[in-house]
Amino acid sequence: MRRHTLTPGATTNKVIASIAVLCAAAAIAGLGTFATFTSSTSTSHTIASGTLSLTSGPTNRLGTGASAIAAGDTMQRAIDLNYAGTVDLGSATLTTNATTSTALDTDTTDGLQLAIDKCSVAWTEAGPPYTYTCSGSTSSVLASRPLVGSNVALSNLTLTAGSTDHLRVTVTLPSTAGNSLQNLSSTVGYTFTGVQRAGTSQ
Amino acid sequence: MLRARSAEPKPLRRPLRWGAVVGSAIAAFVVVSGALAGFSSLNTGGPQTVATKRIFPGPRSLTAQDFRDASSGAESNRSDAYSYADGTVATTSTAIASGTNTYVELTMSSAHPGGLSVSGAQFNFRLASSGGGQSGNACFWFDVRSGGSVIGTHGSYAAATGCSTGTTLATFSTAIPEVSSTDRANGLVIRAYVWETGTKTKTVNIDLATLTGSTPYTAFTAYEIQAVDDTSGAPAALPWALETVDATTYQAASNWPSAAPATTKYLKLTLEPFVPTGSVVTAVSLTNVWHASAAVTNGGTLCYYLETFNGATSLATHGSAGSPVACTNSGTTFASDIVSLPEVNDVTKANNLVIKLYYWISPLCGGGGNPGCVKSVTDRAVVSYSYYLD
Repeated sequence: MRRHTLTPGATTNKVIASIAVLCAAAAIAGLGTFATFTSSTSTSHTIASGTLSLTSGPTNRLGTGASAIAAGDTMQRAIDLNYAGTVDLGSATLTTNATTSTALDTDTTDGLQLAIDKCSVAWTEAGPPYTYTCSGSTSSVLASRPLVGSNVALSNLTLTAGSTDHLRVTVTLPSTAGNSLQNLSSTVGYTFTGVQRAGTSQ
Repeated sequence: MLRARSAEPKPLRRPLRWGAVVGSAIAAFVVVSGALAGFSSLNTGGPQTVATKRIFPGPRSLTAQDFRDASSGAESNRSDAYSYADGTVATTSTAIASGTNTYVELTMSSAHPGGLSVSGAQFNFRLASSGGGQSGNACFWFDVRSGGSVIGTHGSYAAATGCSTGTTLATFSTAIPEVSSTDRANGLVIRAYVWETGTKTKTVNIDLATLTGSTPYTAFTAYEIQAVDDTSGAPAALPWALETVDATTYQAASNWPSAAPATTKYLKLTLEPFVPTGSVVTAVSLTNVWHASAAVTNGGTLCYYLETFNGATSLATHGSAGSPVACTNSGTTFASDIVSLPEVNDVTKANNLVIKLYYWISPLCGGGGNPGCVKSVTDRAVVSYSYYLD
């Protein structure tokens, strides 16, 4: 009977080979779950992917802060959100984060609150201090909630490629804000994220 | 061969199994990741900085501690005994020896905006023995109370915070660092355990009991609005007459003039400065709660108008001899008037505010057919300042 002698190098090679084989098999198996019967023809065609691009402007007042606000004060800032690509969006979210954080953004009850609404046409701006009126129709994009949040869903947006949503962002310091919120300063960044629509037949 | 494979040592089969597990996991990750991928795009706005005022808008009320009565035509000092080192003293109701645990308790005003830090807080106490045969010195220690709790103790009967000598008033200022915010300074309670060291124990005269300190925006003095004398063992409240609507009132020293006011006959309120420099003063008003010392009969009424001053400089009058701010004929029912003072529109005027109230009996008093001349009774005279600091 031949006796198997296993050297350390031989063992390692076998293990690596086994892993590679199993990976390949599993990957093929996984991809296979999405596969279907295919057929090829001699006709050729071109398939080009679309683009998804979320831009802002020409109106964007989000970088304009406010100083010396008091309880009950509100600040309004307009931003145009453009869906500049060729693919419609399926949804959009907003993430706000405080790069300089105080109780103004951590106190979710008496700290700063955020609300967003949309005008069917461009907002008419007055000020500064900026205020906005809508000559068209308005709808709520985000109901009032604490200023800082992650991946907060936005509603009532157009999301159609080539269109623009005219948004008004309202930040409020509630009238219930107490003296502990005096003489504080927070800096907040806004990130809008758009995700493509679901796949369809093309 | 099978026998040969099954004869493989265990150390070789274990790596093979782990390889299978890891390989499967990697494969699953690749497939699932591929299934979840899609287009997305980001757009950022800001950064946006939001800052709040240093002091939020709001009304803060202050009572004049410096109060003068010129109803006779000659001004007399009726100021709060505990507020100034002026020789006008409050004497304890009872002679007190060391170790009795009886006290004089002082509640300070609440005039300052909450939420501010306080530095350098001190309790300032000026006292002396009331003197007499076999009298000695006056000594004290005290504790500090806020929100119903003792937050600091300074001295003891064995180690007095301070002792004056004989009947000579001496001032002792003691740091009270536990008063570190206006939330604590407002309504602060100081319980001063005073005693007299004579072989025949005497009462103690107190000339001054104030709290001083600084917020980031201004230095301040807080005055007492209520004293409680417990030196007898039975606490007796002695509120500052002008502070609140209660049973403690101030009756003018003399009857007011008949027919017309006189600019030499008045009650004078001098407000202490307390609005921080740089503040925006949005509204100031006086609340005056008062009535006549007796019913004014025969169709007569007790009336008044007032004049405001920036120090000694007249700012404005409210009402006049022909058009009083208010009148009453009641000797029991208080009238409550809120008089807006729009001329007090900046920090300087707010911090130097003096108000004179000129009373008279209309149309006449004294003599046949006329009502008797009366005095005024004041229950509350408070100024409300609305301001903020950007």
